Amino acid sequence: MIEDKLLIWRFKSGSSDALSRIYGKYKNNLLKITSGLLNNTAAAEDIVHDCFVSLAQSPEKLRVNGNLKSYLATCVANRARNWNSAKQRRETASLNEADPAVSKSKRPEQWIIAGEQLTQLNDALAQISYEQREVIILHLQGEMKFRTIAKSQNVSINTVQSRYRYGLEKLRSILDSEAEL
Amino acid sequence: MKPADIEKLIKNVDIDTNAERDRAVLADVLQVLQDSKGKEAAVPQPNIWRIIMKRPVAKLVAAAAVIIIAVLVGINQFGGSIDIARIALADVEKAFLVQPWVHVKYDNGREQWINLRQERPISFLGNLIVDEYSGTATEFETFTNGMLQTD
Repeated sequence: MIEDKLLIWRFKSGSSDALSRIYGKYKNNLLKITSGLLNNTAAAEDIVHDCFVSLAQSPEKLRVNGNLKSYLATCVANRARNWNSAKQRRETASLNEADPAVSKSKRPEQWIIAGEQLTQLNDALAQISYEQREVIILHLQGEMKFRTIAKSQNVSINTVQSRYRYGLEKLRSILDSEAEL
Repeated sequence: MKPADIEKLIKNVDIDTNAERDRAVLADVLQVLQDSKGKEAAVPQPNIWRIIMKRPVAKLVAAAAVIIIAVLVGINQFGGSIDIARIALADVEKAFLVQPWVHVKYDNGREQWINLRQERPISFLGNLIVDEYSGTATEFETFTNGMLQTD
């Protein structure tokens, strides 16, 4: 926590070393969060890339006393939500067309190297509602408090806790049924 | 599988990245930072008037200076000596320089204390006090009656 405060302060003072350290410290976690939210590695990579570019463009947006991990997790979650909404609109507009954005085949310059466990988990997460998925991932992987998530989603804390509980229960039944097969 | 096991699985699941792509993205991000630096002044210039007026003592000194100048101008108008005004202004300057610390608030919202004698900036980051010259940070607990250092 203290290290993060120093990193933010140094980054706001224009230090590229501090930005490199922030990148190295959080990129894997952000890629994990985004790939879990979207179950699409190409989109997840683009979103995390854009998030760091946006951070580099405007260091003044970062509050010295804020939580760096939560800030970055919220940044990628907001972008992932927008991407997901746009995807739903595309699907509604052309129901018969195959979605070109969803791709699981390996690309030549792929950033994320997902293991079997991550792929299996992301597939299971993709089967629960986006709202439930977002709460579970932000709470467990982003280490965000329910109160912070509620604020970022503009809903009550009770709604967030319900989404977490029901989402986790549904995930459990999905993973259990897969294990039985 | 218990809910606690699922929580553990989600928390601890591993992800790996392509090192070459890591370097490429970082280089891109650092380039953006360099470009954005070029658009702004490297160090924001503090507003001098704000620096001076931030200190309550400086406000009193400034008010006293105005009164003294007004009185001396009055004396001068009615046949007094200009040398007295010179001495009084030197006293004002001396009184200001006795204050070693000034609080600076930059236009980008950043705040810090600067020692006028050593030009040594100190920043407050929550409960941290950072000495920008030595790069050291000390944690403090803030109480209503002041600050207490904790190791």
